[in-house]
Amino acid sequence: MSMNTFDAETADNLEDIERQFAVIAVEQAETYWNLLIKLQGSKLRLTKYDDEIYSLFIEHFPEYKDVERIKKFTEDELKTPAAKDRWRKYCTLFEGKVEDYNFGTLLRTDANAEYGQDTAIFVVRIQFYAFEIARNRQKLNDWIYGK
Amino acid sequence: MSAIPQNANVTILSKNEKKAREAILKLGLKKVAGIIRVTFRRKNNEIVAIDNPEVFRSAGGNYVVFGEPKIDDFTQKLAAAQQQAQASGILPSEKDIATKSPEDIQADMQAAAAANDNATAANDNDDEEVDAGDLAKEDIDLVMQQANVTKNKAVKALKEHNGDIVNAIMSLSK
Repeated sequence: MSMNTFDAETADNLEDIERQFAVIAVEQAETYWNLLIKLQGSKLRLTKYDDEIYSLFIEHFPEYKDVERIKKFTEDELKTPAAKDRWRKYCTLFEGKVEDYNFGTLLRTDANAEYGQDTAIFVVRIQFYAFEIARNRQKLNDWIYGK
Repeated sequence: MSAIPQNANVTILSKNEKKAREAILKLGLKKVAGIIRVTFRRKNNEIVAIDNPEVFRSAGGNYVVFGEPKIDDFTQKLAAAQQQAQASGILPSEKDIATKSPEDIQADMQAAAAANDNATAANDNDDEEVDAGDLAKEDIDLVMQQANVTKNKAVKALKEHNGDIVNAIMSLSK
């Protein structure tokens, strides 16, 4: 934002909205983490459409059949222009179907790490589901159980 | 405050209003959206109302209201409404009330009470089993545990969120 279009009023409001975003994203991350502590990820079902989210994920992104790439990825590989375009197409498949499919959500970049400043990135909800459902099915989150 | 009588259709355009608004924005007051009406009640039950006001809120919780104040004479309105209702037969006029026997009145009240009972019975189903539909039992149990709620509440939240467990728990723990 350049300085001459800066307006204190709108800046204030944006900050508020962003804060709300962050609050919900953190609540969601906490709730999900607590679920993984209570129940092994491999037994957890997140939505009614887990199967569909997973099969379309593998169909659209065959490179993530590789367990290692599900386990750990970089923010950059999700945010290249080409990747963004593919994700956008994937996202629209769930429009009006999966609740909050395009809400900002925290996603761990490493299935072996807890949520942290350097181990979580901001994605949309459907990306979170795609990765976490895949991780849960590969039992990559089972280590969290009972922690 | 100079008040304009009810039903008047006047718009005051103060020269200084714009300046005042700008000054207020500079003081860090925030606009409060969605306010349709601000009313003040005076000692003698006279109501001064501002329709479609612009409301600003300071950090300290004080409010500044812009808009046209109009006197809203509530008692006068009520009388007018009553008259209209009587004329259209919704409300019984005094004559009708006088001709009703005590037995009639009692019968009316009993009927009303019975209708009321039915209404509460229909609403009060919190203890009854709610149909879980196609929700998985494990999902319901999980939501009950995590959000510390009854089965009915868990089922309701899961239904509202279309089976999304995380969203259901979040909605219950607010």
